[in-house]
Amino acid sequence: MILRAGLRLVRIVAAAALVVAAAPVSLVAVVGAGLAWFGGWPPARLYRAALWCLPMLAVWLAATAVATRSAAQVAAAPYLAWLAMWHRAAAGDWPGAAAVIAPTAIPAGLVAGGLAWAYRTRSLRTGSGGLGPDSAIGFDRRQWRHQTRSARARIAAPGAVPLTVRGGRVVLGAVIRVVGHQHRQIASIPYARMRSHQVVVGSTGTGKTTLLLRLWAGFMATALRRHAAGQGPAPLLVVLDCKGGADARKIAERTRRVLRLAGTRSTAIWPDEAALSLWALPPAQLTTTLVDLIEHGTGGAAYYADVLEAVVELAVAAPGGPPADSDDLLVRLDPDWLAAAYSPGGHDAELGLIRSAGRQVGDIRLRYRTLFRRLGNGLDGLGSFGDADAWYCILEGVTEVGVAEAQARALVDLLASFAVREGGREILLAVDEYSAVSRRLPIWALYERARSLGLSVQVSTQSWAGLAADENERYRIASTADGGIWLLRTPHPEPVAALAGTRKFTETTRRLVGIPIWSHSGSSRMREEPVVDPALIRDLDVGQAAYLYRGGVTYVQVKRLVAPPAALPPVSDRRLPEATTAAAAEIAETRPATGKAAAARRPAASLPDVGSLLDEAFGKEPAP
Amino acid sequence: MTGEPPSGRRPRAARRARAGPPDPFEVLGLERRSDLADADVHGAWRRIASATHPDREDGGDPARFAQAAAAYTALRTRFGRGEALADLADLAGPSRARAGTRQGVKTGWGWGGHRLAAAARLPARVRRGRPARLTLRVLAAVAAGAAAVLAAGPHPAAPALVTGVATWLVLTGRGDLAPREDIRAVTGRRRRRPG
Repeated sequence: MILRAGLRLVRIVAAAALVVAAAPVSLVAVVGAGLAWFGGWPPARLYRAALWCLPMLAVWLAATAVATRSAAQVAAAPYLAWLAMWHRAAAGDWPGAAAVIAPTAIPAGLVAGGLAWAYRTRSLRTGSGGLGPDSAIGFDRRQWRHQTRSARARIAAPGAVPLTVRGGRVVLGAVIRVVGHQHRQIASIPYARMRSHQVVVGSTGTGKTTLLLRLWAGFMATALRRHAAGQGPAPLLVVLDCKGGADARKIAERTRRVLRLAGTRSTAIWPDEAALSLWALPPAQLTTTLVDLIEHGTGGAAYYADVLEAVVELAVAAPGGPPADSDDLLVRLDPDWLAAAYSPGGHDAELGLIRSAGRQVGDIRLRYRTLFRRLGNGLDGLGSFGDADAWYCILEGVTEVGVAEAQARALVDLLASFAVREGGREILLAVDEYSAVSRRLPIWALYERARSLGLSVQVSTQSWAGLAADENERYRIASTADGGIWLLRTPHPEPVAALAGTRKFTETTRRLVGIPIWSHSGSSRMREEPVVDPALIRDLDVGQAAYLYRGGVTYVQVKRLVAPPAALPPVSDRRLPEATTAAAAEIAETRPATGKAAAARRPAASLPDVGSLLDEAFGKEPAP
Repeated sequence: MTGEPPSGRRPRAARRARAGPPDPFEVLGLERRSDLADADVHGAWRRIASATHPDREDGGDPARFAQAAAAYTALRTRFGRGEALADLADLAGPSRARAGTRQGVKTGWGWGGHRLAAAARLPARVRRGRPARLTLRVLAAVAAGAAAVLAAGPHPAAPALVTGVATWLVLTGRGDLAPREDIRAVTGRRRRRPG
């Protein structure tokens, strides 16, 4: 007992002597560890700082070599510096003492501080450090606060978080904490993960839109750059905003401005500003899509579904080509029209079908008339997904669930058809607020063939329950998200958090020797703990997200993308650009004079051809 | 290094690109609103076309007519109006200062040219970053370097400490500058009007 106490005393004295002898190193180590505690840094950051001291160390050794011209002096430089420090300190020259030892003391102190900080964090994580077993809980909570504060400060720096970094990595913000991933200051994901399926889960007002905008802008910026460099096909971003409403319009405008910053030349907002043509689908696909747009039952009602499909197929595949628009289809949904279309001969089977289904054709027409009236003109235009770099499609999933579901179905079919037809486009389909249309949009079915189509799917929803109608489908969607899962604050994160799996963890028990005093004797054992702490997810702040990927998690403070303001004050004295001025001067010089007042001016020899615009404004020019 | 030098006179096309296109809303005398109706734009174009057409007895105003025709072409659809608004916001927004620094596109300036161009952009990056903070940082670094030199005297530690302070300044000062790269990429494709 006495021997043990004596040995402990010797150890303490030796350690104290070492600390005093290497006072500058100790001082730097204490400051470094203190800064790491205050900033919530990992020990690696102190080691990295020590590495950045190497230029200073190199200059110091070089200067020593130049001054002494002796290899032995260079080798002994740390020791000589240490001696010089004590001499200067003894002479009362404290600043001089600090200066001569600093080139060695700073890197050594940073390494020592990193080791001490690593020891401290590890002992608390395993439960062996601290005054009591619950010290780890308070320590972790404080460290989270420090880490979030550091991450916020990091994203506040204007140049710290670009949209993309070298290698096309898409940057999201600053790292708060990592578990099982490599720690970096800036959170970024490789572009390849944007080419895989992703899932985003987060309640309203947690910064989901900000995160999505960053992901979309990063995808477009990298893909456009790759395309410009000849390293990849042109990208296409299609966003289905399944919530709709006035907010969706605002987000669409913001998306357009943000994507503009990312290099996107045009963003079409559907159906407000642009329309697509459902009728551009290949006939067989058009039939399937049209049938799927109508809600039909199973069981006994399946009979009517079969009749509907047969009639629609007859209307679409009629001789003369598929319908050009919804009105054309409605005209075709008439027994007489169908009979006339198929009567020229060789269509006995079809005519038999028309006779059989004759009584239902009117009902089918009625259903399609109602559907097309509710769908509006968004699918009756002439446009194609290839007409813009990005499409923001607004579906009124809150007020018109049935319509939104049909629209989503049609848009996804159009996109799949476009992907097959156009081939080499890198397409990202982002379905925001997926829960609004999840009943009739089997996104997992699209997952299956997405790879071959060059299409990646990003699904975002407010909760785990909103991901699909039943648990199997939810797991199917989440488990195929090989580009990672983004988890923001949500009340029930357990199912998603569980997907990150568990990790091995050392748990230490300590003996209670009094109240509230715990001894430092006890036992440790290995056990599994979840990689993602659901309580932490529930506690995430606005703009914070957890990125789950391959059994690890990175907590990110997402940096908001600043887009230019939507509304601008009118510019009063804008100068005519040189191009226009030069063109006007050229026009004025070459134009033949007509009329007295224009005698001095020359009429234009080559005005732009605006005939169609003038016809539009003033009507067609009458024939002479 | 190939192509033109980073300084000196730029060709006319570059100067035109910097001037930017005229505001189509202003050309047609319309308010910058995304909820303008097609009829509003149509009416404005009709009014200006009537007044400026070159076939008028007085010769009209060909320059204004051409401008109005271009503006009408841009604004005749809701999509066009939305894109034009985004264009204007883009010109007025933070990316304007970055115009001409397109990332990932070889401009023919070569490695040295890019370095020089990056150096030339440094003042703008400082202005758009956190200049006050950067100034404080520089002052602190200068003070620390001077103090180290004074304290160490003619000792090898003096240049080493100055190097250390400079390393610290470079590493931490980068965050106070505005982003270097322009994320805009050139695709070489023209915008088409959907639907």
